[in-house]
Amino acid sequence: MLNLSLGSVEIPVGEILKILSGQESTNPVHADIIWDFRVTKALTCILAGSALSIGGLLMQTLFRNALAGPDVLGLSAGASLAVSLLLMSQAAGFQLFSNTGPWSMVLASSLGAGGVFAIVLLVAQRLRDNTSLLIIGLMIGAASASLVSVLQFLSKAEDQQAYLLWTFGSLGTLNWTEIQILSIILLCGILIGMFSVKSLNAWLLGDNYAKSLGISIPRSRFFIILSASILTGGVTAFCGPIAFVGLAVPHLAKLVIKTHNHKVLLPAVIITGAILMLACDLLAQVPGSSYVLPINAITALIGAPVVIWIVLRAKRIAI
Amino acid sequence: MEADSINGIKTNALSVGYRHGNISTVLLENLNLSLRPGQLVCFMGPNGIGKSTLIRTLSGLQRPLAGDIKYGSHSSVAPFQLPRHLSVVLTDRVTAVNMTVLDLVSYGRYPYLSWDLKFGPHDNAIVSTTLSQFHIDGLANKKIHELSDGQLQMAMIARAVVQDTPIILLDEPTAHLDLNNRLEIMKLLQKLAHESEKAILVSTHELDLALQTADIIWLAGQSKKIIAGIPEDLVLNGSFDSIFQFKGFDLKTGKLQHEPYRGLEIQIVGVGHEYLWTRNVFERNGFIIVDNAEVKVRVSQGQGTLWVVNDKIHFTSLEALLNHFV
Repeated sequence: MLNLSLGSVEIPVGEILKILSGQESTNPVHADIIWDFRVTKALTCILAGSALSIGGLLMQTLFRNALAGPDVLGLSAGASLAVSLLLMSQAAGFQLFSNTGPWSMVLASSLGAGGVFAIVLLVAQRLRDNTSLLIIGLMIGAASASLVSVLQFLSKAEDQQAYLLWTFGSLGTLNWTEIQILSIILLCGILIGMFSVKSLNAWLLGDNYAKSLGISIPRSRFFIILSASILTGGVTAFCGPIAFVGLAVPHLAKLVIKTHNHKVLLPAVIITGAILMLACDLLAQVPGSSYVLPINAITALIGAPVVIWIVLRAKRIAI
Repeated sequence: MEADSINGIKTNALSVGYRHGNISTVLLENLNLSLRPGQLVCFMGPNGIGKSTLIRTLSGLQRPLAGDIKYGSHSSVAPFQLPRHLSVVLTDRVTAVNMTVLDLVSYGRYPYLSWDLKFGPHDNAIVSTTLSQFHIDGLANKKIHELSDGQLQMAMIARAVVQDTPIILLDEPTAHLDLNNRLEIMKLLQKLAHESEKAILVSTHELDLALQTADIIWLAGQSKKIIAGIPEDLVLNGSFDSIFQFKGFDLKTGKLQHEPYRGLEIQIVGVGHEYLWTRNVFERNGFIIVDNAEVKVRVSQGQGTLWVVNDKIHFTSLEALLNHFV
């Protein structure tokens, strides 16, 4: 609600309630602003926040590593590479895409994330332990990042800026059709995560014990990676690479709800993720001014202290 | 497939070890072993001989290099069905934040639960009975990172028992336990084997415990073979001596052999535990104990124990007595 009331045009809270409950508004422009900008943005926040947070939780459990996030498998890096190819390929001397509309951005980052996902899956089937998989993911990320910087070096300033704007992440550009598509994609990812609750819990005991309890290691790993990839890939495609939320939220949720059980953790993380993202978006609008900061600036600003705090805490209680 | 049809393990020309790329290292080979219901089998052998590898292979966590494993009368059991017939305690360290002892022990019910992890009354009952059987019901809500190694080990064994399987394999379950708990665990496993007709395999380095509790001992030696037999036979036929190559330990008397480096002969007169421990002091310190000697130590029990040397000098403690001679 607070999220809806703040923005570059001031709309009183009573007015918003009226609009949301379907009554005639005194100012039709306000109704349009609420429905087409504020509500879509709030929904995007909820979707992106919860999806990224679940992605983070899945990766932290799979790798039994407190500092894993939804992007450890290199999915965001893959998406970034694809988008940078789209935006800056002309500079490198070849033309990959003819037009650079919003849908082609979505398509490109989906392809990028999907490509990395395919590589990771192929590797996962060959490797036995998750740590190697983690290293592979990080290496893919590093390699894509360096390719992106090569492209940046070669490209024109305005193309660079377009890419840079994409990397800032944005939550307010989605229309209703896009939100519908994103919701369906994310729902699939969350459902797969929900059905993996048993194997997620079992992973906490380590590979051998998980297997001895009847968990099929390759199959459950496939579904966990699939779920995290859909969630991360989906959000990255529509909103750009949003950092830190996925890493920080599972820890925040575990602080409040002291359980290892993913049956409880998943809903908790969904709620925490949604709340945190709405809060970040609120701060990004710089209350009292008409400025809108890039969302990534805020998430990192909140995320970094959380990560530092986790590391300090990890020193106290051995994980 | 009925649960009671899988109640033991038979191996046929089984070889275990590990693969590294195309090179495989054989640790134990051509094993024809059987683990029968109602038996507690202790699995012994020097470090690095492949005990853990065999246990992982028998649990289906690792593939055999050659040969096959028969569970009950079935030559193959689908991996997802095995957990209802076989539980395992490994040496893998379990660490997780926010996990309580109750949570950990409850994992034993996972093979019986569907994806939504709904515990029924039977599941809860078996968990709480096992917790009290292991005397860890007081720890139920304690976080596992707050436990001592021994307490965690008890919880891990309880978890395997909660899994309620006819076969239980345990890899060095007594490693972190104190003497009391070690005895208790071995007795509990013995009871489970004998009363509930379970087939239990325990790898251990505790020779004394194994000799006193095991129905069968598997002895892994240097030649990649395993000798199986009842403990007493293996002691008397020298199998233990040849495998462990005890340095100065006489298994048949159960004592360490001492070098009588002092060369002094002592005669000890007395009875009971006091006599045995007095003898121990002198043997440990390199004296020769004989039936008739110039030096005679008499152990007299009245109000407290008194040691009298050659009917003249009195001592009230073994330490003082020993200091008189060294």
